[in-house]
Amino acid sequence: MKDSIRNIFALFTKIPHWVLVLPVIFLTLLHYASFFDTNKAAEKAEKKSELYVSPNESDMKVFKIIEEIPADSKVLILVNYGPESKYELEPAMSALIGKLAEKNIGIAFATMIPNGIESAFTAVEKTIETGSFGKKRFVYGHEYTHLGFIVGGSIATYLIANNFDEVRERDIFNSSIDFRQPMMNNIAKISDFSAVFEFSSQTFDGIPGLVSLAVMLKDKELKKVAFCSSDMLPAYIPFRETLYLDGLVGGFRSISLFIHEFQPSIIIEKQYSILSAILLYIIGIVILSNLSKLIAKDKK
Amino acid sequence: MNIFNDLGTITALLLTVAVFSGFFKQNPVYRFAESLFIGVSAGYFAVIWYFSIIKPAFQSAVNGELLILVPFMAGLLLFLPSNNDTKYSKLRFLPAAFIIIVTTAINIPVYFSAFIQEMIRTSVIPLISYDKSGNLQADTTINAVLSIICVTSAMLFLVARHKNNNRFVNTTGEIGRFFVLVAIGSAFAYTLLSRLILFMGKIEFIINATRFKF
Repeated sequence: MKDSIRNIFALFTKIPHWVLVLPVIFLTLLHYASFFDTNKAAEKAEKKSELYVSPNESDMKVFKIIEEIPADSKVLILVNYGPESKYELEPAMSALIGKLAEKNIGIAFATMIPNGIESAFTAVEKTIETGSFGKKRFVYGHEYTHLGFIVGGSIATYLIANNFDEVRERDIFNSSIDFRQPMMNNIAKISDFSAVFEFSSQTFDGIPGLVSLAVMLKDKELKKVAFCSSDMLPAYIPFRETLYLDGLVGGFRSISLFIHEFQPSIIIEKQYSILSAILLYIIGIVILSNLSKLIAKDKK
Repeated sequence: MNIFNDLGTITALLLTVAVFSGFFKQNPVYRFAESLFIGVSAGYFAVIWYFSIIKPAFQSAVNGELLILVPFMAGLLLFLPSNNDTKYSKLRFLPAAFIIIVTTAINIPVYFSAFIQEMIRTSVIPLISYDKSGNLQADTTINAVLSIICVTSAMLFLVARHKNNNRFVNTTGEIGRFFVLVAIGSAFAYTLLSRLILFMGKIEFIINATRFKF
């Protein structure tokens, strides 16, 4: 019995590596095939399809925080991702912008990485293109503003937390934010915002930017929600249940769920199903290969 | 979108295809796209750094804020020759040391609060969780039990690496090794997925860009 199990695992180790990649390629190609179908379906009927996951307590917490932000207030969004995570985080950011715009909430963007400068503008453009928030105007300086690139990594985080008014006297176009931008009226320090969001695909000195900001902030009541890419999930997940993150949307499952909830016009269901299958397959391979190595070692 | 009216889309499309051509083998088109990407990135960053740091600093100095000259001089010190025989060459370590000290000073409280204090607090979670109506929460309970098993066995794996004859430590250490490898594998799987999403996005871009409207 024991030998037959070992023989099965031995067979697994003999499979050439390139064969293991074939299912990933097949599933990826399936996505492109389904891409045409989903577009057709969306054009034919505005039928809301279902995502095969239900929100858990952590997801519900994020939804609740966003719903509870008072109308006509202002929020800060830290855009710490570049083109390398655009297709993962941009739809979520677009969905958030749409949701906030619906409630007439002003948005101040800031970035701590040079690549993040353009990301905010492209997400705003995408939101306007979809037009899903039913707002006639979304004007720079009134409804949103971009405070630009804040240099310095963790030092920048310290400055944002403690000297926000001094760090940001001017916006990205060098306009004074005091006189020319109604959006920044009554915002002197970071706790004047109703909430802070971070879209991140990297950490600063090994610490997630929003966690670092939260530790340095004196105002513990300010709501903090992080959105991170799949590869950043291991860095963010330890802080999910801590005082420093009120909500975390990380990885493609949570992000798909968030988009599905707040911007169903972006059809993400088939991509989600295919990526779930690929993830299960890869994790299955990892577990099987580890087991087979352990059993082979036992045999020696 | 009409592809012939959008020069930016055509350029993006051609460059995307050029980069993807590197999947097959190295070729001049791929090398051109690669060099272009490096060059444009370097140029982009140079412009960003100039407008974010150098220009505002210069304007501050012109406006009479001479304190800005201190970091400017510190920056110039970094260009001192690295030959240790030169009289003042060791001065170049000063700005680097200052940056390290300041960064460390800022990060120590963050590391302590976030990684030690909060981690310990959240680790001491109830092993068996109940919801508001008093029913057992199976998922949270399984998660907590699994967390304790994984953390304990992974720590014992480090102990088992040193020679010891304790069978329990060795066996648990092997289980811990399995969990460590699965954790690394999962992180790898997520990274791979992240790149696959990017790949899917680019393919969708190509599909959209080449969808002609006659």
